[in-house]
Amino acid sequence: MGVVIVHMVPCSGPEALQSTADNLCRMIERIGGQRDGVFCVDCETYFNTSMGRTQHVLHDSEHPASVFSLLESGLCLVADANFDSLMNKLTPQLFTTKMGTKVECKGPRYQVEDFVLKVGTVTIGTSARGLLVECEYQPCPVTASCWELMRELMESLLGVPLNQPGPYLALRMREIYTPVDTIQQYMEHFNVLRKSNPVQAVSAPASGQSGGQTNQNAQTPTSKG
Amino acid sequence: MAQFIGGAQPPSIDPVSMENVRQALGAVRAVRSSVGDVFRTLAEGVRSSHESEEREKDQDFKGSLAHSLSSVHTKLRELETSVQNLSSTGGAGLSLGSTSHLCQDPTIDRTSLYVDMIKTHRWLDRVHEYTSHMASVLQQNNLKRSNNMVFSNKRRQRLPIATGHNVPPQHVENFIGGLQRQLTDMTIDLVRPCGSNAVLKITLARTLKAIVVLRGLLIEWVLVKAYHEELYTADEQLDIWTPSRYKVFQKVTDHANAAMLHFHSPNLHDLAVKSFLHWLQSYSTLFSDACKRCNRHLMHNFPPTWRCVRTYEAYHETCRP
Repeated sequence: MGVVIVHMVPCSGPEALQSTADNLCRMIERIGGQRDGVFCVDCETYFNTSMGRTQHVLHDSEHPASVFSLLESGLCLVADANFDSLMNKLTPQLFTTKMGTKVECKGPRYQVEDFVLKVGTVTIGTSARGLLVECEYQPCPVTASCWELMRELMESLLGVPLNQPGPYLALRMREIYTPVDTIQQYMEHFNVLRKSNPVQAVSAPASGQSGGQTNQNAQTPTSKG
Repeated sequence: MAQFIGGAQPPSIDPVSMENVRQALGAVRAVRSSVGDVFRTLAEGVRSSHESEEREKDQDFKGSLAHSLSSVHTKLRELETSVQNLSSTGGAGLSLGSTSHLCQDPTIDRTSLYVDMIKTHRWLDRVHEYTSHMASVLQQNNLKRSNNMVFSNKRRQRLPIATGHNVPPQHVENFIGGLQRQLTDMTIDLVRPCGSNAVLKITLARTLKAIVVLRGLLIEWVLVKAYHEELYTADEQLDIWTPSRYKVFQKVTDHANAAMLHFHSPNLHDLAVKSFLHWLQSYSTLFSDACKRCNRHLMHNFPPTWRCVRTYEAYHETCRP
């Protein structure tokens, strides 16, 4: 697992998303990118009815056997794929979810020597909201070491200067990169995209029930915090 | 003298020179007889009887004198040519001082000594001449095949036997321990999975891992992998063969093997290992260094994977000086 930077590509509007994505794919192929299937990162948001907390459950096609569960506080739980069935069982009583709030980022995946580049269109419900580019440099485990290297590649692809890393990554520049860091970056971008359109933004429902304790127990043993 | 030379000629001398001697003697005789003719003519003088006859006789006398003089001149020329022939074959050009009296020794087996000496001297002269020519030609076309002047100067000496492969294990451990203290951001683990020969497991900062297989203190094999790649196989064996799955480290492995050969020295084996490890240490900034030449990080989607073996500066493969 190398270092991953997830960057949001600025688009003038929903209509321009597809053409921008196509241009990016062409650029990647021009620098020697080999198309290597597709990828998908999705995020389902649950509401704890008793405690009023929000819990995000994310899947990443790079880690198909794992499920990532994120709390608003930033606490992250990495669990096996069985976690989904547990959530399904708890859903009507302890957790509620709202239709049309599922966020998905899908698109082609490219391999460029030791880089993996992914161009994903983010859809919330059925509407396309934004374009994310994920750049992974596999040989290096520390963000600070290869930040300049990746910035050079991203700037040559996007044609715009890249700023400093996002707030989450900036705090962990000198630490060994983990898959959770990728999920946290996606979550940052998904939150921004959700808030960008207030009509579609998620609002917490007010159905309160007891059972939050069970949820806490489920998270504690494998919590990676 | 002529008889002596003729009789004393060793059988090795060719018959042409004998013929020359005979010709020369004949020429001397001819000169003497013609000179005798001249004197005889002069002694007889001019006989005077009548005035008319006197003029005739005078003419005859002058004619006979001129004829005999011209014959003397001709014979003298012949003598000169025959003498020249004699001198060319007799070795008169070389004078070896009083040893030339050797050829006057009537003993047959000693007479050839002088001729042989002359031959030997000529041979030596020729050898001197050819070697001086050869030396000047070689100095003009100096063929330098090696920069190592030490080697060329000591070419004739027998090279000392290399013992780098046959170093006691304790010495290797002490040496690597000393190096470990110098290389601060490098962790070196010394293991001996196959007998007495050491294998170094190197972790360099948080950039790479390397396996260096030693035989004594000679580096035999280098493998570079990513920091998060595993060095052991599933059955807990040290995996020194499987290359890294990342292309950048495959390139670094190639460069490390080239550098290992570059630093190799058959006699200063500890210096070779030390230089190689210092060179490898420069890879701690593999991903963060920009190329010294083009000042960019990426070239063909690779960081600067080559390090200068003298200055340890970072270069892309295609930017090498």
